[in-house]
Amino acid sequence: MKIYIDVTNLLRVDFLTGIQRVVREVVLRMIRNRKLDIVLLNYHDGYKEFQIIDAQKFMDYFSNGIGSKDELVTDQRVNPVNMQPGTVFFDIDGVWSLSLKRSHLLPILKANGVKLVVYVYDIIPITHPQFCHEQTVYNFMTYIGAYLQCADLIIASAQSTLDEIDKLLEQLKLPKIPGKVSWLGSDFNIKNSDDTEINPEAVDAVAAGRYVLMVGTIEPRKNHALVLEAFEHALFERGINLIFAGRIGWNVQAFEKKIEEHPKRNRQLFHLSGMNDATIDYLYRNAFCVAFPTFNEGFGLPIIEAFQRGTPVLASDIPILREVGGELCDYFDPNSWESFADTCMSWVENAERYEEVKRKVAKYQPVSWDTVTEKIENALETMKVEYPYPVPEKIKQMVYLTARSEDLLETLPYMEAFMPFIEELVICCPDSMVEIMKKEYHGRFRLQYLTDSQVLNGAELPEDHSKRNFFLRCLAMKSDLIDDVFIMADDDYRPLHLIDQDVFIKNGKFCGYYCYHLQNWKGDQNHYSSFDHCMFRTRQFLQEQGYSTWMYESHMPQAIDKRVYQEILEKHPDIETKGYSEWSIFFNYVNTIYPGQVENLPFVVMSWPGSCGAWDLEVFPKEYIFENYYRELYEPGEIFEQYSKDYYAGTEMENRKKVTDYMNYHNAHSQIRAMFQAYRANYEMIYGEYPTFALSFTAEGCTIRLPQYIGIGEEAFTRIPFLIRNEIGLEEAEITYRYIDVQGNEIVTGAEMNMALDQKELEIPVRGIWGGMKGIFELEVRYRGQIFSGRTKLCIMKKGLEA
Amino acid sequence: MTNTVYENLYDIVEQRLKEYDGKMLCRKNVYLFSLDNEPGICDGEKLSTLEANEDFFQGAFLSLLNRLPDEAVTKDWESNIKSKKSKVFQAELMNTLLSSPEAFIKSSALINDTIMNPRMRPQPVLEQLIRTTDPVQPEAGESQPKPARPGVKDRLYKVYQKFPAPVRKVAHRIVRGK
Repeated sequence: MKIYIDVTNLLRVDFLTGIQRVVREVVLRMIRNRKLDIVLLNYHDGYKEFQIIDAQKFMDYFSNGIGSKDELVTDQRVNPVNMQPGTVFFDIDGVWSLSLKRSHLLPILKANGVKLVVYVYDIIPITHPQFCHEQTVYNFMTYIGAYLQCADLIIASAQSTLDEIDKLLEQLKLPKIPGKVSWLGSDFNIKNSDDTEINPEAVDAVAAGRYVLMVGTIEPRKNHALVLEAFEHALFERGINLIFAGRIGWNVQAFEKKIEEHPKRNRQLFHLSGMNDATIDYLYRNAFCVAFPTFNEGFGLPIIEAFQRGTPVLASDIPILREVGGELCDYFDPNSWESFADTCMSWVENAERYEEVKRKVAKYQPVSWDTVTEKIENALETMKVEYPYPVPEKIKQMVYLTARSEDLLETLPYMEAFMPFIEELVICCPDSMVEIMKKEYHGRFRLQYLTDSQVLNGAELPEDHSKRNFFLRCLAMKSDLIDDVFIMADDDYRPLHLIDQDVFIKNGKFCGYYCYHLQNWKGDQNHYSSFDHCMFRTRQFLQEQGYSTWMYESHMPQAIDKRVYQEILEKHPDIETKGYSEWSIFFNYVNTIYPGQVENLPFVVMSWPGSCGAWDLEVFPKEYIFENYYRELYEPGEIFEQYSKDYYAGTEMENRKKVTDYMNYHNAHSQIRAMFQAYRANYEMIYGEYPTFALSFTAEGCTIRLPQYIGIGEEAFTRIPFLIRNEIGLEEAEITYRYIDVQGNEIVTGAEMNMALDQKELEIPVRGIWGGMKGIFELEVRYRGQIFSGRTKLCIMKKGLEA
Repeated sequence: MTNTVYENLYDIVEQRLKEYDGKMLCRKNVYLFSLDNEPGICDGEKLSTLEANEDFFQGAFLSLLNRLPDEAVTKDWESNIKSKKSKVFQAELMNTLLSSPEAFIKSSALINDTIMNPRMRPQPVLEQLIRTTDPVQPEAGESQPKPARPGVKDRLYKVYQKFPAPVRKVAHRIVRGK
């Protein structure tokens, strides 16, 4: 199982304290253990992508001090939109201040079916914001807010923290998230050769006499002031010294001044900053005791660190420290210096009692980082769910949903020739088609029929094409005629050459061929088609259910597990009539519920879409195995005019040429896209923004903003995004666009459309008109009886081809 | 993901801060505005929805620099925030932030710029140059487009005049082929 870990913060900061030390210890062990496939990431602000870190170099640097941080990053990058289902994104570093906010990132990963796991040290910025820097509060709110909505698992450093998270979830009316606890370890690696020298200042401070130690950044939450007050009132005079080891944090200027100007400074009061691990170890070992008067804490590592060195601890009486310190600490009220002074004095004055505590502490068995890492690894492994159904070694059945006997009869010879492992077809069709098929089909397949009347059983068939298909397929899934695992197809999907069943199921996993991300789908027509509405509905359903949102409508046969479909129908009994996409529902469900069971692959279909310009490809096929058959493409003047529409002995050979032609056609279109990209880059350089249409609907009216000019290949279509600002909840806008010459005469009729405004972004096709000429693109919006219009220049960049 | 959760979270934190006489550094609408911003990309159209100068000021910092303005910077801009008209203030602020080294290091960019007026766009001279050399529609009877708009020389000369003297000198040499 692949685990992505973002360690950007660890690489950016120059010091290793608190969280950074935890990240180092855990990640080093995870790499060393090789139990999970760890991929370390560094976010690059410029590329807006993650860079992959060389794990070996990471180990060399953080374990042995070899090399430099700059050398850790490789040339390989990962864009979050391409992270695959079945992988895990694990946040353990303090990344809340990065530019890549989790409120932006997590929905993308969630939509991809990536499992999200977070290690939470504390939620102090939420529970005790008064102790935190405003910027931290703001960043942390966004970070934890995103995880509370998206996380699949929370690992907390303490049960108290997990309890606080549960309380917060309840307050926010969010469902409970599975949680695990893995305490922090304390056997920090101090073998780094550069890090072993004990600081002379520390040696002097220790030599000055018996001392109480406080370790950690000096900040209001740590309550250093209380301890100093107790010393001033009662402890200095008893010959006990005080050492603060930690850098100066925020909002303690007055306290810092007080320490600096303190009359006991460097005699009984010491402040040591920037100490290395070896020095901290030295200070712990020689302390009379460690004071931990904190108001709130995520874990209280100083307690464990002190115990590990046999040093007793005086701790605040708060739940987290009670959890960590147990019976080995003595506790005091963090709001009373008297309470601290009394507790401390009880040890100073009662040597027997103090020695008894020391003896107990000496027996303390600290949690090692190995144990911590193992717990975290085990927790991460729970993200892997075994697929509960046996996947057969052989698939022998195809299931068709069709109402077109002629098309199916034309397609079947391709199946017979190129998919030899298929033995049987189940045809879901209108009753009238059965007789035709029986009469006309004489091939090798054994045919079985599931007629509309059989599956509908009196129910009414929806009129909408997509709704009808989904409804029928859902009903068919209940039939015993259909095998547990089968290949689902439409009547016009044709294999191009001989294939085996590895195309559909490989190593016991389903191959899911995607062609888009549903969250980016903007429709392939000026007017949304039944298909587009189906995609929008499906997206909404998948998002609402927290399933991934890849788009698997690749127009090719794909393997389906009937048992999973039945599980889906059981879980969501009302979906049959909703008109969702049968492919996307299946694969996204499996992605989310049984992560790793789908091998996600780019689609392998020629002629999808039928016209290259219908929509911009988001995913590019690496090879072509199937053809999405469009009769129109074989008409005179079209790309496949010279090829046969029907199967014959030379089809396989002919298909090779056909694929080459298609690739050329496709490449030409890609060039047009490249031209558009060049225009976009040029435009951005000149105007400092991307070319975008913007429509703003307010109570006062409608504002249209168009790019300063549109550059496009001749006779080519491209699509420019629309940004919609819709303050008044308008559902639809009536929009007309057309192309006119510079004198204002219409030269090409554009289109009128009702544009649904519930989307964040819409796209409108823009067409280059004549080579070397320039036209004008005009957009009109009808709104509340008024017409608002905008114009911009249309510049033809280079001769292209009609797409 | 819904904004409601973030709103509630904001309310919880604000309430706790109030108990200790503290207050949130930015208003709720500014906080919510920044949540789904693409890293380092400021959408001018969206940013413009923060109408009050103070909100706009913080929103611009958040979307371009991924941080709230610190106290000293806020003090520097205080008089502008209070006195200047929104549009002028917004354009000045964006211009300053976009040209800052911090924005450069963080690869920040502004898209859908509805804020800065054309004069304040980064490369107005280049813009004019490009547009004057666009091909134009042929006259009736002509099949080939003309290379540039009539009067292009005059327009180019106007652009040329805007260059500083040393650049004019170089341009002059290029035009003369020297």
